[in-house]
Amino acid sequence: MVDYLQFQGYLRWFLIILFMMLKAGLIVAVFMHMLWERLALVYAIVVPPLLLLVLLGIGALEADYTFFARGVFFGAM
Amino acid sequence: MTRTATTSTAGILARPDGIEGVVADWSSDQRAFKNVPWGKVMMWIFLLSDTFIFSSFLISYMTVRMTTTVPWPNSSEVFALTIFGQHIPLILIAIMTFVLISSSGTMAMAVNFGYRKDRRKTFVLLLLTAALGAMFVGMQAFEWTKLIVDEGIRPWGNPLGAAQFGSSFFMITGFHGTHVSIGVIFLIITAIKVYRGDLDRERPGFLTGRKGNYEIVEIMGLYWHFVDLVWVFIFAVFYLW
Repeated sequence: MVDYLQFQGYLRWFLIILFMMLKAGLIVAVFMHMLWERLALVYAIVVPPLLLLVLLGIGALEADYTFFARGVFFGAM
Repeated sequence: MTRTATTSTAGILARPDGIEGVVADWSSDQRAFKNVPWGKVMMWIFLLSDTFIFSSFLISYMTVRMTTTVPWPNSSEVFALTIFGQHIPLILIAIMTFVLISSSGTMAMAVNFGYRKDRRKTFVLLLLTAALGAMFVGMQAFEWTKLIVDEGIRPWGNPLGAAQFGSSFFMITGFHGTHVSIGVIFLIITAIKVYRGDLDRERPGFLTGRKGNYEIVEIMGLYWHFVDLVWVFIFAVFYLW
Protein backbone atom coordinates (compact mmCIF):
# COMPACT_ATOMS: atom_id res chain seq x y z
CA MET A 1 0.00 0.00 0.00
CA VAL A 2 2.67 2.49 1.02
CA ASP A 3 4.49 1.54 -2.16
CA TYR A 4 1.66 2.65 -4.35
CA LEU A 5 1.19 5.94 -2.54
CA GLN A 6 4.92 6.60 -2.70
CA PHE A 7 5.06 7.80 0.87
CA GLN A 8 8.63 8.13 2.02
CA GLY A 9 10.57 9.27 5.05
CA TYR A 10 8.97 9.83 8.40
CA LEU A 11 5.37 9.65 7.20
CA ARG A 12 6.01 6.15 5.87
CA TRP A 13 7.70 5.06 9.09
CA PHE A 14 4.93 6.49 11.14
CA LEU A 15 2.17 4.78 9.16
CA ILE A 16 3.95 1.40 9.20
CA ILE A 17 4.54 1.55 12.96
CA LEU A 18 1.03 2.81 13.66
CA PHE A 19 -0.74 0.05 11.75
CA MET A 20 1.67 -2.63 13.00
CA MET A 21 0.99 -1.67 16.61
CA LEU A 22 -2.77 -1.30 16.08
CA LYS A 23 -3.01 -4.72 14.51
CA ALA A 24 -0.75 -6.40 17.05
CA GLY A 25 -2.75 -4.92 19.91
CA LEU A 26 -6.00 -6.04 18.36
CA ILE A 27 -4.78 -9.62 17.90
CA VAL A 28 -3.52 -9.89 21.48
CA ALA A 29 -6.56 -8.22 23.02
CA VAL A 30 -9.39 -9.81 21.10
CA PHE A 31 -8.19 -12.93 19.27
CA MET A 32 -6.05 -14.12 22.15
CA HIS A 33 -8.72 -13.14 24.70
CA MET A 34 -6.40 -10.92 26.76
CA LEU A 35 -9.28 -8.54 27.43
CA TRP A 36 -11.09 -11.22 29.38
CA GLU A 37 -8.21 -12.55 31.47
CA ARG A 38 -7.43 -11.58 35.04
CA LEU A 39 -5.16 -8.59 35.37
CA ALA A 40 -2.44 -10.64 37.11
CA LEU A 41 -1.96 -12.76 33.96
CA VAL A 42 -2.22 -9.75 31.66
CA TYR A 43 0.57 -7.95 33.49
CA ALA A 44 2.72 -11.08 33.71
CA ILE A 45 2.59 -11.43 29.91
CA VAL A 46 2.46 -7.87 28.63
CA VAL A 47 4.97 -6.11 30.91
CA PRO A 48 8.16 -8.22 30.30
CA PRO A 49 8.27 -7.48 26.55
CA LEU A 50 8.64 -3.79 27.44
CA LEU A 51 12.22 -4.71 28.41
CA LEU A 52 12.78 -5.25 24.70
CA LEU A 53 12.57 -1.50 24.23
CA VAL A 54 15.84 -1.29 26.14
CA LEU A 55 17.41 -3.81 23.78
CA LEU A 56 16.02 -1.81 20.87
CA GLY A 57 17.64 1.33 22.26
CA ILE A 58 20.98 -0.37 22.84
CA GLY A 59 20.86 -1.83 19.33
CA ALA A 60 20.19 1.55 17.77
CA LEU A 61 22.95 3.26 19.77
CA GLU A 62 25.53 0.62 18.92
CA ALA A 63 24.48 0.59 15.28
CA ASP A 64 25.12 4.30 14.88
CA TYR A 65 28.53 3.88 16.44
CA THR A 66 29.43 0.88 14.27
CA PHE A 67 28.22 2.64 11.14
CA PHE A 68 30.39 5.63 12.00
CA ALA A 69 33.42 3.43 12.72
CA ARG A 70 32.96 1.55 9.44
CA GLY A 71 32.73 4.82 7.57
CA VAL A 72 36.03 5.97 9.10
CA PHE A 73 37.72 2.60 8.61
CA PHE A 74 36.63 1.85 5.06
CA GLY A 75 37.04 5.47 4.06
CA ALA A 76 40.66 5.40 5.17
CA MET A 77 41.52 2.34 3.08
CA MET B 1 -5.14 -35.25 38.34
CA THR B 2 -7.48 -32.93 40.18
CA ARG B 3 -8.14 -29.59 38.63
CA THR B 4 -7.73 -27.05 41.39
CA ALA B 5 -7.77 -23.49 40.12
CA THR B 6 -11.24 -23.39 38.69
CA THR B 7 -14.02 -20.89 38.83
CA SER B 8 -15.67 -22.79 41.65
CA THR B 9 -13.54 -21.02 44.24
CA ALA B 10 -14.61 -17.62 43.00
CA GLY B 11 -17.98 -17.88 44.65
CA ILE B 12 -16.56 -18.87 48.03
CA LEU B 13 -13.71 -16.40 48.13
CA ALA B 14 -14.43 -13.28 46.12
CA ARG B 15 -11.25 -11.84 44.64
CA PRO B 16 -10.71 -8.10 44.26
CA ASP B 17 -10.45 -6.72 40.74
CA GLY B 18 -8.02 -4.34 39.08
CA ILE B 19 -4.64 -3.44 40.59
CA GLU B 20 -5.71 -4.68 44.01
CA GLY B 21 -6.48 -7.99 42.37
CA VAL B 22 -2.96 -8.17 40.91
CA VAL B 23 -1.42 -7.56 44.32
CA ALA B 24 -3.75 -10.03 46.00
CA ASP B 25 -3.15 -12.74 43.37
CA TRP B 26 0.62 -12.44 43.66
CA SER B 27 0.60 -12.32 47.46
CA SER B 28 1.85 -15.19 49.59
CA ASP B 29 -0.34 -18.22 50.09
CA GLN B 30 -1.92 -17.63 46.71
CA ARG B 31 -1.80 -19.26 43.33
CA ALA B 32 -0.84 -16.41 41.00
CA PHE B 33 -3.06 -17.19 38.02
CA LYS B 34 -6.64 -17.59 39.15
CA ASN B 35 -9.30 -19.18 37.00
CA VAL B 36 -6.80 -19.99 34.25
CA PRO B 37 -6.14 -23.60 33.26
CA TRP B 38 -2.44 -24.30 33.69
CA GLY B 39 -2.08 -25.41 30.09
CA LYS B 40 -3.06 -21.96 29.03
CA VAL B 41 -0.63 -20.29 31.44
CA MET B 42 2.15 -22.51 30.14
CA MET B 43 1.27 -21.63 26.56
CA TRP B 44 1.35 -17.93 27.43
CA ILE B 45 4.75 -18.30 29.07
CA PHE B 46 6.05 -20.19 26.04
CA LEU B 47 4.71 -17.45 23.80
CA LEU B 48 6.41 -14.87 26.00
CA SER B 49 9.76 -16.59 25.52
CA ASP B 50 9.04 -16.87 21.81
CA THR B 51 8.36 -13.14 21.76
CA PHE B 52 11.86 -12.60 23.06
CA ILE B 53 13.38 -14.87 20.43
CA PHE B 54 11.64 -13.16 17.54
CA SER B 55 12.29 -9.71 18.99
CA SER B 56 15.97 -10.51 19.26
CA PHE B 57 15.96 -11.52 15.60
CA LEU B 58 14.15 -8.41 14.51
CA ILE B 59 16.29 -6.11 16.63
CA SER B 60 19.50 -7.66 15.34
CA TYR B 61 18.07 -7.26 11.84
CA MET B 62 17.59 -3.57 12.63
CA THR B 63 21.14 -3.26 13.95
CA VAL B 64 22.61 -5.04 10.96
CA ARG B 65 20.63 -2.90 8.54
CA MET B 66 21.66 0.30 10.29
CA THR B 67 25.34 -0.59 10.36
CA THR B 68 25.81 -1.65 6.76
CA THR B 69 27.57 0.82 4.53
CA VAL B 70 26.25 -0.85 1.36
CA PRO B 71 22.74 0.06 0.10
CA TRP B 72 19.98 -2.29 1.24
CA PRO B 73 18.03 -4.10 -1.51
CA ASN B 74 14.67 -2.47 -2.20
CA SER B 75 12.21 -4.96 -0.75
CA SER B 76 9.29 -3.95 -2.94
CA GLU B 77 11.42 -4.73 -6.02
CA VAL B 78 12.88 -7.97 -4.67
CA PHE B 79 9.49 -9.38 -3.74
CA ALA B 80 7.69 -8.23 -6.86
CA LEU B 81 6.09 -10.76 -9.16
CA THR B 82 5.10 -10.52 -12.78
CA ILE B 83 1.63 -11.96 -13.20
CA PHE B 84 -0.09 -11.94 -16.59
CA GLY B 85 2.47 -9.50 -17.88
CA GLN B 86 1.90 -7.06 -15.05
CA HIS B 87 4.63 -6.15 -12.63
CA ILE B 88 3.12 -5.94 -9.16
CA PRO B 89 5.28 -5.14 -6.13
CA LEU B 90 4.91 -7.34 -3.04
CA ILE B 91 1.94 -9.24 -4.46
CA LEU B 92 3.00 -12.67 -3.21
CA ILE B 93 3.62 -11.29 0.28
CA ALA B 94 0.24 -9.57 0.22
CA ILE B 95 -1.47 -12.85 -0.66
CA MET B 96 0.52 -14.71 2.02
CA THR B 97 -0.48 -12.13 4.62
CA PHE B 98 -4.10 -12.40 3.56
CA VAL B 99 -4.00 -16.20 3.80
CA LEU B 100 -2.44 -16.15 7.26
CA ILE B 101 -4.89 -13.58 8.59
CA SER B 102 -7.82 -15.56 7.16
CA SER B 103 -6.48 -18.64 8.92
CA SER B 104 -6.44 -16.65 12.16
CA GLY B 105 -10.09 -15.85 11.55
CA THR B 106 -11.05 -19.50 10.99
CA MET B 107 -9.05 -20.43 14.10
CA ALA B 108 -11.00 -17.92 16.20
CA MET B 109 -14.23 -19.43 14.86
CA ALA B 110 -12.97 -22.93 15.67
CA VAL B 111 -12.29 -21.88 19.29
CA ASN B 112 -15.76 -20.41 19.49
CA PHE B 113 -17.50 -23.52 18.15
CA GLY B 114 -15.27 -25.65 20.35
CA TYR B 115 -16.62 -24.05 23.49
CA ARG B 116 -20.13 -24.60 22.14
CA LYS B 117 -19.21 -28.31 21.83
CA ASP B 118 -20.01 -28.24 18.15
CA ARG B 119 -17.70 -31.07 17.15
CA ARG B 120 -18.31 -31.03 13.41
CA LYS B 121 -17.85 -27.32 12.83
CA THR B 122 -14.79 -27.20 15.10
CA PHE B 123 -13.22 -30.06 13.15
CA VAL B 124 -13.92 -28.48 9.78
CA LEU B 125 -12.65 -25.07 10.85
CA LEU B 126 -9.48 -26.57 12.37
CA LEU B 127 -8.78 -28.43 9.15
CA LEU B 128 -9.43 -25.26 7.14
CA THR B 129 -6.99 -23.39 9.36
CA ALA B 130 -4.39 -26.12 8.85
CA ALA B 131 -4.97 -25.99 5.08
CA LEU B 132 -4.49 -22.22 4.99
CA GLY B 133 -1.35 -22.59 7.10
CA ALA B 134 0.01 -25.24 4.74
CA MET B 135 -0.81 -22.92 1.83
CA PHE B 136 1.20 -20.18 3.52
CA VAL B 137 4.19 -22.48 3.95
CA GLY B 138 3.85 -23.54 0.32
CA MET B 139 3.93 -19.95 -0.89
CA GLN B 140 6.90 -19.29 1.33
CA ALA B 141 8.70 -22.22 -0.22
CA PHE B 142 7.89 -20.76 -3.65
CA GLU B 143 9.22 -17.38 -2.54
CA TRP B 144 12.44 -18.89 -1.19
CA THR B 145 12.94 -20.87 -4.39
CA LYS B 146 12.48 -17.75 -6.46
CA LEU B 147 14.95 -15.80 -4.35
CA ILE B 148 17.56 -18.56 -4.22
CA VAL B 149 17.36 -19.90 -7.76
CA ASP B 150 16.29 -16.92 -9.86
CA GLU B 151 17.87 -14.01 -8.03
CA GLY B 152 20.91 -15.70 -6.51
CA ILE B 153 20.30 -14.50 -2.97
CA ARG B 154 22.36 -16.43 -0.42
CA PRO B 155 22.76 -16.03 3.34
CA TRP B 156 26.30 -14.79 2.78
CA GLY B 157 25.70 -12.42 -0.08
CA ASN B 158 23.55 -11.39 -2.99
CA PRO B 159 23.90 -9.44 -6.22
CA LEU B 160 21.47 -6.71 -5.13
CA GLY B 161 23.32 -5.01 -2.32
CA ALA B 162 24.02 -5.59 1.35
CA ALA B 163 25.10 -9.15 2.15
CA GLN B 164 23.21 -8.98 5.44
CA PHE B 165 19.92 -9.00 3.54
CA GLY B 166 20.08 -12.72 2.82
CA SER B 167 21.15 -13.80 6.27
CA SER B 168 18.49 -11.86 8.14
CA PHE B 169 15.80 -12.74 5.60
CA PHE B 170 16.41 -16.50 5.67
CA MET B 171 16.85 -16.52 9.45
CA ILE B 172 13.69 -14.58 10.29
CA THR B 173 11.29 -15.96 7.70
CA GLY B 174 12.76 -19.44 8.13
CA PHE B 175 12.10 -19.37 11.84
CA HIS B 176 8.60 -18.08 11.26
CA GLY B 177 7.93 -20.70 8.60
CA THR B 178 9.07 -23.39 11.02
CA HIS B 179 6.57 -22.10 13.54
CA VAL B 180 3.80 -22.22 10.96
CA SER B 181 4.74 -25.78 9.96
CA ILE B 182 4.74 -27.00 13.56
CA GLY B 183 1.43 -25.20 14.03
CA VAL B 184 -0.05 -27.04 11.06
CA ILE B 185 1.02 -30.39 12.51
CA PHE B 186 -0.52 -29.58 15.88
CA LEU B 187 -3.67 -28.24 14.25
CA ILE B 188 -4.11 -31.58 12.49
CA ILE B 189 -3.54 -33.46 15.77
CA THR B 190 -6.07 -31.26 17.53
CA ALA B 191 -8.53 -31.69 14.66
CA ILE B 192 -8.23 -35.48 14.90
CA LYS B 193 -8.86 -35.33 18.63
CA VAL B 194 -11.94 -33.20 18.05
CA TYR B 195 -13.19 -35.51 15.30
CA ARG B 196 -12.80 -38.67 17.39
CA GLY B 197 -14.70 -37.01 20.21
CA ASP B 198 -11.77 -37.30 22.61
CA LEU B 199 -12.62 -33.93 24.06
CA ASP B 200 -16.26 -34.79 24.72
CA ARG B 201 -15.46 -38.16 26.32
CA GLU B 202 -12.46 -36.77 28.25
CA ARG B 203 -10.20 -39.43 26.78
CA PRO B 204 -6.67 -39.15 28.20
CA GLY B 205 -4.09 -37.78 25.77
CA PHE B 206 -1.41 -40.12 24.38
CA LEU B 207 1.46 -38.02 25.71
CA THR B 208 0.41 -36.35 28.92
CA GLY B 209 -2.51 -38.49 29.97
CA ARG B 210 -4.58 -35.43 30.75
CA LYS B 211 -8.28 -35.67 30.27
CA GLY B 212 -9.29 -34.16 26.96
CA ASN B 213 -11.34 -31.00 26.95
CA TYR B 214 -11.97 -28.08 24.66
CA GLU B 215 -9.37 -25.90 26.36
CA ILE B 216 -6.77 -27.42 24.06
CA VAL B 217 -8.53 -25.86 21.10
CA GLU B 218 -8.17 -22.45 22.69
CA ILE B 219 -4.53 -23.11 23.61
CA MET B 220 -3.90 -24.16 20.02
CA GLY B 221 -5.61 -20.92 19.02
CA LEU B 222 -3.27 -18.89 21.21
CA TYR B 223 -0.28 -20.38 19.44
CA TRP B 224 -1.76 -19.84 16.02
CA HIS B 225 -2.70 -16.22 16.68
CA PHE B 226 0.82 -15.68 17.97
CA VAL B 227 2.27 -16.92 14.69
CA ASP B 228 0.01 -14.45 12.92
CA LEU B 229 1.12 -11.71 15.33
CA VAL B 230 4.78 -12.35 14.57
CA TRP B 231 4.01 -12.20 10.87
CA VAL B 232 2.49 -8.73 11.33
CA PHE B 233 5.80 -7.52 12.71
CA ILE B 234 7.90 -9.28 10.08
CA PHE B 235 5.66 -7.97 7.33
CA ALA B 236 5.91 -4.41 8.65
CA VAL B 237 9.61 -4.15 9.36
CA PHE B 238 10.99 -6.47 6.71
CA TYR B 239 8.79 -6.15 3.67
CA LEU B 240 7.35 -2.66 3.98
CA TRP B 241 10.26 -0.79 5.49
